[in-house]
Amino acid sequence: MPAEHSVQLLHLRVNGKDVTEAFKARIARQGNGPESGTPQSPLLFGASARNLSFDKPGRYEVLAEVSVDGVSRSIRNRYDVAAAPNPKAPDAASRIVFFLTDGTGLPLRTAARIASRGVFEGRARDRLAMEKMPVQGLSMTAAFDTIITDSAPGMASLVTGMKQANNALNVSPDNTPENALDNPRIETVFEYMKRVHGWKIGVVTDAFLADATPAATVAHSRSRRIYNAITQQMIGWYADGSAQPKAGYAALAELAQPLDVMLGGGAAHWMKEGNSQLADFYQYGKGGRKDVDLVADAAPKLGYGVARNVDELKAAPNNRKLLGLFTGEFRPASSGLGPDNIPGVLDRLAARGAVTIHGKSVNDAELALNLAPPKGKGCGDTVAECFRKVPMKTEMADKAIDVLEGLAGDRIGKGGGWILLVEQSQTDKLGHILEYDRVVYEVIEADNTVAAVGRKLSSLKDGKRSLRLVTSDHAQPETLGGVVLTDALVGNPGSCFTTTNNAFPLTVGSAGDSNRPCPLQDALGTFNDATPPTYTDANGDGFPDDPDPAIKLVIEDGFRPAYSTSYRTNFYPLEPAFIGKDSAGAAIDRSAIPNPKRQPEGLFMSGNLPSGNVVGGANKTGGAINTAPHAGDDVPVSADGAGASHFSGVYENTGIALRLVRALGGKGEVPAPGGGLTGW
Amino acid sequence: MTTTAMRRTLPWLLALASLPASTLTASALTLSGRVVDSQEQRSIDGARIRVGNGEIVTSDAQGFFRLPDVAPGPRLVAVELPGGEGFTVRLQVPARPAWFVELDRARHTPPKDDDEY
Repeated sequence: MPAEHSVQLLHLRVNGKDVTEAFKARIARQGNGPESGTPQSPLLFGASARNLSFDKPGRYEVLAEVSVDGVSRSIRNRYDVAAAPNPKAPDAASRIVFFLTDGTGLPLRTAARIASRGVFEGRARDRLAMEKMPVQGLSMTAAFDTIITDSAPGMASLVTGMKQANNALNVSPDNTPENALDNPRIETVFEYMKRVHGWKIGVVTDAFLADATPAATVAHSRSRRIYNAITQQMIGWYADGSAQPKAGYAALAELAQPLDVMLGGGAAHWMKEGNSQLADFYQYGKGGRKDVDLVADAAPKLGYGVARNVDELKAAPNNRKLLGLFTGEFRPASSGLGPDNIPGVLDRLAARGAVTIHGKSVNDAELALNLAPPKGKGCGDTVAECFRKVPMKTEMADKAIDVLEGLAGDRIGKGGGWILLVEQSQTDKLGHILEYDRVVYEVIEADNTVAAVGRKLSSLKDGKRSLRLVTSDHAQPETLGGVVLTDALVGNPGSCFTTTNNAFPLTVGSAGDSNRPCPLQDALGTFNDATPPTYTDANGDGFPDDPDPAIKLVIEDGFRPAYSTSYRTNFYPLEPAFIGKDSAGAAIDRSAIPNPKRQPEGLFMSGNLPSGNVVGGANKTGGAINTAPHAGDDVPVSADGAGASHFSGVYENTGIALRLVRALGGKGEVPAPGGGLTGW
Repeated sequence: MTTTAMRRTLPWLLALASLPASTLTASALTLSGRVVDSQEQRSIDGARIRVGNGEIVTSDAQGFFRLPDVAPGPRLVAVELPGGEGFTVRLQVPARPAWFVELDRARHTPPKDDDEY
């Protein structure tokens, strides 16, 4: 609360050494305003001295004393500081590929293994590439302020070693909510390696680039949602009058290191409103920046090439920084992803003719792929053509590595190197909307990329000094319940799911139930009846040829919105539920109902998110109840290569940053007390 | 926490803003706080805050409010914003003389885009 009088800083001590005057002098040099995080009210106190470092490993105790209306108060923080990376150490990693499969708990790895490798007499016929890695660990994912993290601190904690609050990207909370960009900032491993050692850094994602996970590599914001400022930080463009001003942010510009390679979606956060490509190529119906066009204006000035599809991606030079922005899931019939996020794996494969969905292929009307794009033909004559030109994750990772290799050059292994984040985002996004079959394809694509990157790293000079790390930021409440015999459903649409009052049946009926003569009970195989599924991969691409074979896996969420299911794969992604509306079209408070466009003949699956979560809930970042939340389960960590041994064990997600630093040559011991605080 | 010798600023000073100007010593305490929107980057003036069926107070020009006589324990804090939108926050109110909470609209209402998280 505001004090009655101005708050006074009495003492500031670091390991007993009084640094009060140095702190005040620093703040004076920085000046009032965002550079120092100055509150608007003179009765609030707070100031951030920017870009300081603990320059030696050890334990640091920082003690502040203030006078609040004549009462002396103190607060104490302790920092355990490990040795900094030393990439010149002979065993240090010089290339790191950090795979982040968003929202992927252990059940999804199991499902992907069974679907892609098969099971015979109780044994997996083969294992996933990530499961074959020699080191396995578990990461505890709680955020600073909730045991269920969102993806912002979920990634930011991993790359900084500091627990953070939900919605926060590499900052701590402060008392100036009117400015999400002036919070105390925490440097990431990506930034440190670029700033200090000149490493090259990159991200690859199927989400929009400003989304929390890719942004967490280098961006700093209390709000993960101010995308236009975040993209400016990612490319290093500070301009007054834009979302990320220059005045007041000199320390941020010094700290936040621009990414050298960025491949993903979300062109609307980069291009200016009115840029014809937003509609014609990227198929946005609305959106775009009002301040600056980072693609047309900033990227060329900053030395970035731009790629919009797989052909341009492959043709891009390997010695130039690269920004790749690809088309999203823009089919008007689909819901839940939208043009910001590139199409899911199953839908990209369907467009390529590599899978069928419940027997339907690319040219069948059900898939809505053989249609003209709704906003223009910039990306292709048909939706399928546009989707075919969106690169697969293996192609994105392959090119990103080529460019990072080209940029890092012959300094690799001599103190130089690179780090690449490869995110599989839609393991999470499609999980939120209960597109379980699609989620399994996402995990398989991530795993195929892990394998392909492993082969590529082995082929590079001194490739043994490479680390592959695979983990997740959090789980979702999905579990593998058994199988369903899809053939038992064919020919029975509707007959299974009708009750005398025509309402959604609340429980599974059975063939012998006169009220609900439903064969689904016989089709659903749990426990003893879970016979191995019958996925096939005739074309040998590593993906099942159809997500709906005669016997398929069934995944369900422990916490979920209301929805209905016939256990079949939707022809395109669909949200499971809508916020309910009354007859006049007004939103009904605290209610979500099954999406009537999604398997309306299916069983009603009761939602179990507390109604209090509808308005003001803690079920995820925002409190929506029409999608599933995140879960608090620990998530697996897999590692292979230089420094991988550090990742064995069970540890906080912040421990991943510490282990990365050790893999980068930082020594493991933490002597106490520490040395000094530099940067005054 | 364990971390590396990387560059960072000092976050702890900002926690001092949460220190109340005065303290109370009853079993019921004063719940102080601030209503903000971290996405829209503003504090919220004129929000109505209530714990359970208790007294309703209104946030001031900078979003601050004080609720007297809040008993420790699990509490639902209802926030009604100017314009009618509202959200609810679950709090475990500790048995301390005074406490401060930040009630962030962006944290407790659905995002405008349905494709994040």
